[in-house]
This record gives sequence, structure tokens and C-alpha cells, in this order.
Amino acid sequence: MICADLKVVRLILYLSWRDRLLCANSDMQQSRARLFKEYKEVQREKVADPDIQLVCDDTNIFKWTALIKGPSETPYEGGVFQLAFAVPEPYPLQPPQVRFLTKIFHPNVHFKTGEICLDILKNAWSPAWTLQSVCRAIIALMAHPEADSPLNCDSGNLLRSGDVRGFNSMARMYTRLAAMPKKG
Amino acid sequence: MTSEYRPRIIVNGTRRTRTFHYFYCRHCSRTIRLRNYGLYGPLCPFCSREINLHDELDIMRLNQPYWDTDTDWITLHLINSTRSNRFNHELVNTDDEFADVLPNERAGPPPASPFAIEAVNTVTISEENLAKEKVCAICKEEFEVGEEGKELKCLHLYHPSCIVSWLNIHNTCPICRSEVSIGVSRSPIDEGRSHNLDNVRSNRVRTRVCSLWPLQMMFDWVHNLLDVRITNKQ
Repeated sequence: MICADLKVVRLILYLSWRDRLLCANSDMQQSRARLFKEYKEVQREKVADPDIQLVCDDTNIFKWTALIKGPSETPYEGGVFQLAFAVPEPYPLQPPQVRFLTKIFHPNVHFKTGEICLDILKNAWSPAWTLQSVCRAIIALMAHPEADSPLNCDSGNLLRSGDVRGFNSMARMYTRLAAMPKKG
Repeated sequence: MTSEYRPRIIVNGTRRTRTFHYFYCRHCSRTIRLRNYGLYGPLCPFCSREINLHDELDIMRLNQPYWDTDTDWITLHLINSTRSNRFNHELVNTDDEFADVLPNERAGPPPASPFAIEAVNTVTISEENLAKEKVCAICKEEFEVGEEGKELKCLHLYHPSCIVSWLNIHNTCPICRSEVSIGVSRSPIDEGRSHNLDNVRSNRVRTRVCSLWPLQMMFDWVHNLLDVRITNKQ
């Protein structure tokens, strides 16, 4: 009797596991469909937002790169920064992973890895965000650094100790070195 | 005498009585060394923030040197961590594309309870709805008149499958972040407050047990099966 019950339970577990696998697959199709929508949207809006240039990898729709312009009236002005996006399969239920490929001196960006400390890329993610709006959020973060949750401590400490001038000149120097075309 | 009781460490084969504690500071992502820490626990000398005691590095491991072949980095292991690899990775800074995020950092709001998900209003999409919202914020597909949709209490509209898969992970509205909970819209039968409270509590326990992975999988599957049967009958 118990044996038979166990068999039933095992069968149910197996079937649900198989369903789960199938579901995972459909997850991927959903994220693909959504990314394709975003791709079309990006093509349509290309002119609308000149500060962001979002490009999808030719062979893999889950890999994107973006070029964003440093916001004006910040030490990043005049620089062009490259971002790399890795979109997870459960997207948009999970946030994309984004990092800076261009070196940047910013309290919320890891100086070596380019990892970005931004709540919407972590616990405050919502599927209503798109890759484009994530880029906008990153531009906003560049203009308003959060010195209290630093990934780059040197930069955070400069700001927290009130040395805005020191911070600005460091940030501008790295913008010139890494984010601007070399002269001559 | 007192040195007998002091914890000793062996560094590169020599026994040292002076005890340094090595920690990994998550805020400035670097290794720090402290001789002793006062009443308030260890503080990072660089960012003067508190350091989690679990982030103590296992300096004993240095006995079996752990040199990387092409870099001159020492890798240290965290004592109480199953994720020590992640930290190696950060200390060494390899060229790997993405350092994975701590799971608790990514946690966000908790999942909605199955009862709350069931309690979400199902509506047939009309022209009025379309005037307010044209696309589903989750899949970005356009709504069509006559289609079935789910409307949260904050009046935001989604496709049923989209919003259910989101609520299974987090209990907030994707657009306005207002919490989705049981209660108001469901208005349970009033049988005295205490009874209600008990109910809520037992529901919570039940939800917690049910959300264990194999169980949840099973329940979901049975639920789906029943759903299919019911729709077939209709």
C-alpha cells in the first residue's frame, strides 16, 4: 500500500519536474520575445535619445552593449562610456547584469571590475524597466553619486569628506584617460 | 602564562603569538588586518564601517600556498563561507565577465502567497482599460480588447501569465511597487477576530511549508492539472 503511494508520489514529482523544465524553456522564449520587442523599440527611438546607443550582439540576443554619454555639468562630460549587458534567461523577471567596460572613477562603480551598485539592478528590480531605461538610470547615477554605499572607496571617501574638488579632478582625469578619444 | 591561552597562528611555518585577524571588508572590497578589535566589534580602518565577523579570512590556509600561476596574488579563504570562491574571485579580479551578485542582495520583496495571487481580479480588457494602459509592462505586448487581464488593487493591468510569474517571485506591483497581499479584496468571512488571526497565522505557516521546492512543484502541478480538467469540462 505504502509502496504504491510512494510510486504515485514519485510519478507526480517526476511529472512536475518535467513540467518545470518545459516551463524554463518557455521562460527563455518569453525573454527572447521581450528582448526582440526592446530591440525594435530601440531601432525606432534611436533619434529620440542621443545620449544612449544600445546595440545587440549579432549572434546572441542575450548580450548587449551600450554607449552612453557622460551627463553634462559632471566630471564625466564629454566622455563616452561603454556598458556590457548580460541578460539572464528569466528576464524580465530577473534584472540584467550590467557593468562598465570603460574605466570610470565613481563611488558606485567598482574600479577594477566595472560592477555597478544600483538598487534597480539588485533588489529593487521591476520588470517594467527596460534595457534603455536601465541606461538612463545609470546616467542618472553618474550625475548623482551615492557616496554612502561605495564600491570604489577612494572615490566615496573623497566625496564623504567633502572634497568635491578632489573628486571632480580625479573623475575628470579618468574620463580623459579612458573615455575620450586620444588626441594626436 | 597568558600566552598559553592566546590563540596562536602559524604563518609560513613560524609560530606567532601575536594574533592578527584578517577580514574581508565588503564595503571597500579589500582585505584588512586588525590586531585587536574593541568593544564594538571590528571596524574597517579604510571606510570605518562595521565588519561582519563571518568575513574573517582563514589565514591558516596560507600554509599551503595558493599561488596563481600568472599573477602574484595570494588568495585567502573565508572561514565560514561556502561561497569562498566568489571572494577569491574578487580578490584576484580575474577577467571573468560578471562577478555574481550575492543572493541576498538580489532578494528584494518576498513572493506573494498563493492566496493573494488567486485573489487578484480577473477582468476582460475593454476600450477603457486600453486608454489607460496600452502594453503589459512585463512582456511589453499590446493588450487586445476582449482579452483576459489581471488587475491589481492599484488598478495596474497585466497579462495573467505575466503577473502570476512575477508574483510568484515578488509581491509588489511592477509599476508602482505597491504590495500585493491578501485581505482587503478578498474580505474573508468574519467569524471573530481571534479566529481570523489564527487563520492568517496558519495560512502563513502553510504557505511557508508549501513553498518548499518539491512540495510547491507538486502543488503547482496538481493545481494545473485540476485547472485543465475544469476548463475541459466547461
